[in-house]
Amino acid sequence: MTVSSVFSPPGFNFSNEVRNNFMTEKGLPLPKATSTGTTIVGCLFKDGIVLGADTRATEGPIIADKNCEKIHYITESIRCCGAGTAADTEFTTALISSNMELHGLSTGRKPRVVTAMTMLKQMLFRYQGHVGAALVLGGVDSTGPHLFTIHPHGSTDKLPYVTMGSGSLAAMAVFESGWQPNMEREDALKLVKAAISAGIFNDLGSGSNIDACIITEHHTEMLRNVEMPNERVQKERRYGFRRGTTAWKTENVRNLIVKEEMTFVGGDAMDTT
Amino acid sequence: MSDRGKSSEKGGELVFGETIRVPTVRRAIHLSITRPLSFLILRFPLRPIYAQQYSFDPLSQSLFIIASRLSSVNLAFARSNSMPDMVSIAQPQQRQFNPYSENGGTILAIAGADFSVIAGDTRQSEGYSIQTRYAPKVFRLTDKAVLAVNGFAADGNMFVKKVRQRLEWYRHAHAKDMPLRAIARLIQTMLYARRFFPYYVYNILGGIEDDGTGAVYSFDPVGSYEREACRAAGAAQSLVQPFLDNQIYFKNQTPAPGTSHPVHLPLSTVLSLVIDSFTSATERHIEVGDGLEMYVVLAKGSASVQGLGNIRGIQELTATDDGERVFVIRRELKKD
Repeated sequence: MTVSSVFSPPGFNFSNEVRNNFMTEKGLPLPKATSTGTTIVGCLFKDGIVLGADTRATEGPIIADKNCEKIHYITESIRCCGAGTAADTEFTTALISSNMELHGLSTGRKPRVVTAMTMLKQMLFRYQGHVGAALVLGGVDSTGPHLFTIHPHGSTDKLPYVTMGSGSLAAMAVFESGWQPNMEREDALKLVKAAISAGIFNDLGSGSNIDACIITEHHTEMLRNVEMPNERVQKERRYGFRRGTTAWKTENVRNLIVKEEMTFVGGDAMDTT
Repeated sequence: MSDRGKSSEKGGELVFGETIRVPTVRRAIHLSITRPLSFLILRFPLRPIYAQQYSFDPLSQSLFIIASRLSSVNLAFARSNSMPDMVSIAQPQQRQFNPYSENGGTILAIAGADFSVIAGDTRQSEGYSIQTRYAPKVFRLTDKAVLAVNGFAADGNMFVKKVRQRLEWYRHAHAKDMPLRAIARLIQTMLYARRFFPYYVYNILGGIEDDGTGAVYSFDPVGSYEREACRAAGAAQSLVQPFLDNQIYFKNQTPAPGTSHPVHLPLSTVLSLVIDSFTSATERHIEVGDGLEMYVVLAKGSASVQGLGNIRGIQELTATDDGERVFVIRRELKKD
């Protein structure tokens, strides 16, 4: 086996940092990462947690994905909504999900929400905000329902109702006027839908559909596209093209066999016994 | 001069945190600094050193101190992104005021043989916020001219107001409406008059020429203009214009053998293309949406009027049917 001649440390690779800084200085900016403009929310109710998210992903003013999934799996009864740099939220939650599974296996218990929260904040703090993940973490464990927000630099809040992303103000306005302690499941879901709708219609970074996730002690219900208020309208015209529309200057169907030669290798015929 | 001989009266090198000794008599020292910085902080253990007593030039990375009865100066370096909190900064501060903003949205115009369609969405935004869902960007100037403005909304509204004023003066002086090509030239001179403080606006003028043909004129913010058959401008220009090039100019389409592409499309086709342009732009651009306004200008006695009868929600803006006629069609667009 060959051994790589260059030492590569575990974790992120910073070998292009100096070059990229130089290029930025010379006026060639780094490519923009896909960002989930985003409205994400979470809300505590009588038996657990409801999480909500819109489904728009943007690259500057362009909509990159009209129906992306922003509610990520951590464990069966812990889920995490991600806002910020799409890749960072996806990889961060996937890594912590994996570590939570291992943690559960090693302790023989159902891992707790605070454990996920601590792992996430320690990772984000270690990267000093360069991992651009703004998260809403919610779940139910042996100590009851818990809901956190985790900021890209690693600070956390524990609150009964939370919002994050560019639509957070629109969504928080709905929570501030409508949230009550000990809400019923249906009322909580309705409130979460209203909060996400506020983000979808009033924040340009958020849009398309509503995803929700209801987590209770014994059951987690993922409601993908629970509402679709922005379906694409019918086009006025059909844009099929006549066969032969694309011009070509030459046509050449090559014979792939240029030359065929058979060489008989002498000696015994193959032993087929 | 320096206790370690690193700095001298004429010049020398400084290391981070180094203390240099300056004679007690009034002397000037000139120092160069070993590593690049954009400004530095001076700390003074004995006497204060005032901003007038030193200057730092980030270009040549050199420090000039006029020391007055100063026994030592402790130099600490600061990076450009960390602001010092208590000491003065040895660099001039530049401040600026930006009077412009960008309010999103898209406009588009297509000229036919004897008609012209000028359209725009009605969303006005700034950053990620919607300022209003209905702010018209398309304006009727005369019975044969419609102007669409896109860019900085405040400048756009003011510009339309000024153009209309000039057209009114023309009417009083000449007792007729200004011809379309003259309006185009007027807009050019009005824009270029503000060459060094421009209206931050992309204009598209559509209408009917004196010879009865449909026309579209497109402008840049300082007055360069051109007559075209179709043009899109604004936030989703890069999404819509290639579509128009393909569907109006038939770019990258070879005609069927023995046939040729039409030079002008019928009004119904043009309206469909405009609607599809805006619904598509709404799908993929965050700043486009809410509502669509399409102005149709028909030449005198145009046969295209037949097709307009059965269009939902159409409204005529002209009082008489013996000249050019202007119609407006409004449609809803997605609001997310």
